[in-house]
Amino acid sequence: MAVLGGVLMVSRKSPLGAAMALLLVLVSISAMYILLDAPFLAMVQIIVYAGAILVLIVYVIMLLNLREPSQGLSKFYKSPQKIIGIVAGGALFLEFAWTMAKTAISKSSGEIAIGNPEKIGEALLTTHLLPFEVASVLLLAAIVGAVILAKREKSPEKNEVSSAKEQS
Amino acid sequence: MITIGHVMGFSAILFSLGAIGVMVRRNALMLLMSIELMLNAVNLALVGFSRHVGNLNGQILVLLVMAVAAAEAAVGLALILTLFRTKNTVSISEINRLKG
Repeated sequence: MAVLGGVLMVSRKSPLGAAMALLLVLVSISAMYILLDAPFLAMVQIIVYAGAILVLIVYVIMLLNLREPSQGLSKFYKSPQKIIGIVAGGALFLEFAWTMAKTAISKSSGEIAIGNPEKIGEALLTTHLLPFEVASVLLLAAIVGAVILAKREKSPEKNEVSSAKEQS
Repeated sequence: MITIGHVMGFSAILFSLGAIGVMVRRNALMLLMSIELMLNAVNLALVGFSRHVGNLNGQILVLLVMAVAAAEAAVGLALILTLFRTKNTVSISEINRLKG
């Protein structure tokens, strides 16, 4: 089902349809997490991906109000690039399959660690405290960066720069 | 019963699809979505191995990857927005300012 969603996503013409197909993939992966004894990650997957990232993507699609791409330049690139891309992706998949066939995976240890919020929180705040803090700093930097990038430029020097860009 | 082989095969298919998406599509938004797909494939492989080995380190790593993915999506979408304001397009074939 998720594979179907992935194929749909890559092949959709309109970005909005692709976003809906991506939603299907994300929810399927969340179901896989539940099957793999990771209920906390399944919840986080739904909240972060389906709830935040996908809404952001759909919001930007709506905001840009894209018309159909019908420029001559993109048409020129279309057919050779598509073929090369699909061939390269197929080669990548074959390489994955070959590697997996070659590699002998050891027997499972048998113990099952269920990723419930309690266990994950404990591990996150003891053994993996430093990556956790670094991730929070990274998120802060991303918020600041996104706001600065998306802000309309109003100060006089910035206006000069943007008008110079328009002239060129 | 899901074995590690199933998870890995599924993850490989999804990652390849994402890579094809990055190479084939010309729309910057589609590129971003394909990158999300690849990150999800890697997350799935990590959870599969975490279950296989029997400890939670893989799931912690998935959590951190999700944080990075969220940051990347926010910054990437802001970049696309700025790009659309200046160039009035999101097709990466037409963003050729850097060419001499």
